[in-house]
Amino acid sequence: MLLYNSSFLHGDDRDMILFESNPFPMWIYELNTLKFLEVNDAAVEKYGYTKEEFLSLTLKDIRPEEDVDRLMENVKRETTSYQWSAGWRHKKKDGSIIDVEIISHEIVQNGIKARLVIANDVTERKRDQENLRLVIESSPNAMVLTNNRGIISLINKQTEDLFGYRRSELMGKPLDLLIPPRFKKAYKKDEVDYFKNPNLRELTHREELYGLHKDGREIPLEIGLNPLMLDDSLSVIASIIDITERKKAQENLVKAESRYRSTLEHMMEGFQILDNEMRYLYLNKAAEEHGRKTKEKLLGHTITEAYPGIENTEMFSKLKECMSNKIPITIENEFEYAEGQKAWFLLNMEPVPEGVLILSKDITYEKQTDKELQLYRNNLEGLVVERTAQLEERTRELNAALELQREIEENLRLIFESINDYGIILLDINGLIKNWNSGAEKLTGYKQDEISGKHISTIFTQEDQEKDFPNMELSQALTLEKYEAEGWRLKKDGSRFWTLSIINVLKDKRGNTTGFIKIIKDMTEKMKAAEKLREHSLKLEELNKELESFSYSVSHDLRAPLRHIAGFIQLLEKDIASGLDDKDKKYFNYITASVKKMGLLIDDLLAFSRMGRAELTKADINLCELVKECIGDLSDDLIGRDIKWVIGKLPKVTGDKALLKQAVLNLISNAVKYTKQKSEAVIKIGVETRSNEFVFYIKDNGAGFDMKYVDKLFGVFQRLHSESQFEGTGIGLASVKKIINRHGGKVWAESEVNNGAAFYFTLKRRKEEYGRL
Amino acid sequence: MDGFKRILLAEDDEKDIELTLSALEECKLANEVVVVNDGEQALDYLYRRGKFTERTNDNPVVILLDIKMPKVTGLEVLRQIKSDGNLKKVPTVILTSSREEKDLIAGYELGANAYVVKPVDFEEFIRAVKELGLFWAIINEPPPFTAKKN
Repeated sequence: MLLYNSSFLHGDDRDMILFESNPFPMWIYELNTLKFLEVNDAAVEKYGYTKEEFLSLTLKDIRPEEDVDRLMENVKRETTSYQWSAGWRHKKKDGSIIDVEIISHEIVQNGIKARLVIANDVTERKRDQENLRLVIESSPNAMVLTNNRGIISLINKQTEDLFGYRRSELMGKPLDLLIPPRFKKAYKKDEVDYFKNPNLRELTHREELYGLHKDGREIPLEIGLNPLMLDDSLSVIASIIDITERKKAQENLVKAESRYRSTLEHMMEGFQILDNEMRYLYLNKAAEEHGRKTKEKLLGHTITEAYPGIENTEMFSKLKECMSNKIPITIENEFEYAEGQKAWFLLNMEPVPEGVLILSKDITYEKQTDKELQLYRNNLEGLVVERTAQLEERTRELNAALELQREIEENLRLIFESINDYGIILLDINGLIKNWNSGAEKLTGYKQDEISGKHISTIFTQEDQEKDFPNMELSQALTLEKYEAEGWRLKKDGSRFWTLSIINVLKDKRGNTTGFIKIIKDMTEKMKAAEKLREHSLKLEELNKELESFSYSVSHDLRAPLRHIAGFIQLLEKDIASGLDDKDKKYFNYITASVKKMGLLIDDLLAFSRMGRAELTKADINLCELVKECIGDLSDDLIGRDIKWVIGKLPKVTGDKALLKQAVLNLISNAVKYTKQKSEAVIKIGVETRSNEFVFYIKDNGAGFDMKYVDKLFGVFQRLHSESQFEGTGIGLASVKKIINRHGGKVWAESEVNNGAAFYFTLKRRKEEYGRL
Repeated sequence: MDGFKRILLAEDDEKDIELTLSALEECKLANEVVVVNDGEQALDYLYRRGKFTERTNDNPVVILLDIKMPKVTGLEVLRQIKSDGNLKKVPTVILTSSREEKDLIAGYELGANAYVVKPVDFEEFIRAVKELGLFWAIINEPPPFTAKKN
């Protein structure tokens, strides 16, 4: 007590009483030494030490040894005058440990620093809290402890799992973190309500509850709420069950039920249940249709009420049998409706606890089909017999056709083999020889055996092979379907023969190319003939050239001496004219005339040869005018003549005007010449029109000629009259013939001695004039 | 010979020369004729070469050309005359035995002023040459730089 007064407890008795009689253990200790300076009765009672014992102890002595270090640190740090701290453990005299909360504040007395301490034993409370935590943690459900301000104070592992949060993320946070936004308003109200009237309740049945997972999804929940007084305030402990699986199972159950119901209702088979009194308990739609009565009319009624007279049917007796003997029965039953119509059903009757289940299936169609099938079966035999006969007939026809084909093939083979003049070669698609007839053997000298399988190029010359002709031929044939070629080919002995070859493509029924057939013909002779012809024509051309130069020299060189003879004879005659007698003069005249004649001959001959060579210059010719021109040209010859001209209407023709004029002139000139002895000369010129040609004629009534010499008439230098009778060179008609022939026409003559002559020649009509005139 | 209208006759055949000259004699033109015996000489005359270097620088009033001549043919002479700027103005007449069409065509293509076939008949020949001489040497007005008669 002295101590109190003197050093640490100042003031009045009230302080002493407060200290001494305080229900909480209290003490004062010196800060430096940690020695107890004063303790109250409650401390003595709580810790088991006597007051004296206490005063010989330090703070360290009432601590468990392991806590001493922490105490020493704390003591060093303690600077504030007042301090509240929890979590301390104290050791009582008997060694037991208690949990305490400490309130202390500093006091200074006579320079000595000390602290006044109030210790509150919270061991009981801590144990309760720890128990609660353990209970919550060990609950299989998610548990959330919330204080009266809606702040989460405790959760368990299950809550973490359910909502996806870590413990630290939820502790101290408002509960509405776990409430989906759409329920937040309602929750606030609930919360307020609950705290007004806290009781144990389950929230499940009121409405569906949902929680909000951290990832945003809603979880269907069942929640139980329990109010709890903790540390003197109201908390609520919520027990939460995830009913996702349960809800799903419930939904599935509902769906399955509705599915079964729907299946049953809509299945093809009729489904009905009769109770043991034969009363309709259930029937589906098909059963309604099968019985042609609605549920409304049947349910609750017996089958005999629904279908009077049914008790006398086989079906009814079977139904009864099934019911009484509890055995399943299946029958096919023809059901007769009230209207008299009938239908077949397959009925499965099955005993069930309620009575009998009848499964009905409409088999009317199958029954009908059966009947028809039976009918068919009966007919089938007849059909088979008939078919067999037809087949036999077909087979006979087919055999005949086959026989015919074999015959044709054999004939073809024979033909193939016996064709000697033509080589017939079958090639495959690559040009390899497959078949080779005797003609080919004969042409080439290769036997079928030795050439078979070789490429067709075997019979081609080296040059042609280098130019790839053999393959080119085949590809040409492929493009053109058929290919023809000529060329030198090789015989086995190396000699060459000229061939014409034709290649055709062989195709099968589907149009695919299978190979080629090549036919070769030896054209060597023809080739030689053609070469000979070519040689001939070359020679002819050469001859023509020679003739031309011959004519040229005749023209130039032959005429020159003639001219000289004529010239100098004249000069000579002039010089010696005075000394010439009549006889001399006659000789001079003979020479001059002869020279002149020879000149004419040469000119005519040249003209004739030119006629054969010169190109025809074709033009439209008016024959009427041409004849007039000719007569005009002959004017010298017409002097002193009295000729009656009968000239018909003449057409236009196409030809070389100069040459045709020469021909016409020659003929008219002949007519004039050979009528000169007639006192009344008549010359007729005209035309007969045939379908595609004109026949011109020039007729006179002159000397005529003997028809037995008609062949000579158109020959060169051929004359049927003497020079003294009718002068001429014998070139005229030959020229006519040549000119007309060159125009594609013919010339002929008819005559009788002293009875005139008729000359005819034809000229083609111009195509556009066919049928006119 | 200066001051005369000269005729150049190119002809290798002596007989033809004589006949031609006697024909030209009929129209008093014989003295004006210069005779050469082949194409080479004809060209020498015209270009005043060889033995003709001394002649005066004027062109004949007409040239009568035979076709068939030794060394250089009449047609070749004609070709050279007609491709020479100075000589091509001189009237050149082919006087030949040839009636061949190809000669005729060649002659005209090379630019002959006339093509005359010598007739076998002498009277006709004389007539033809006379007419030739009269036309070209007397009637026709020659181009400038041609030998002129006073």
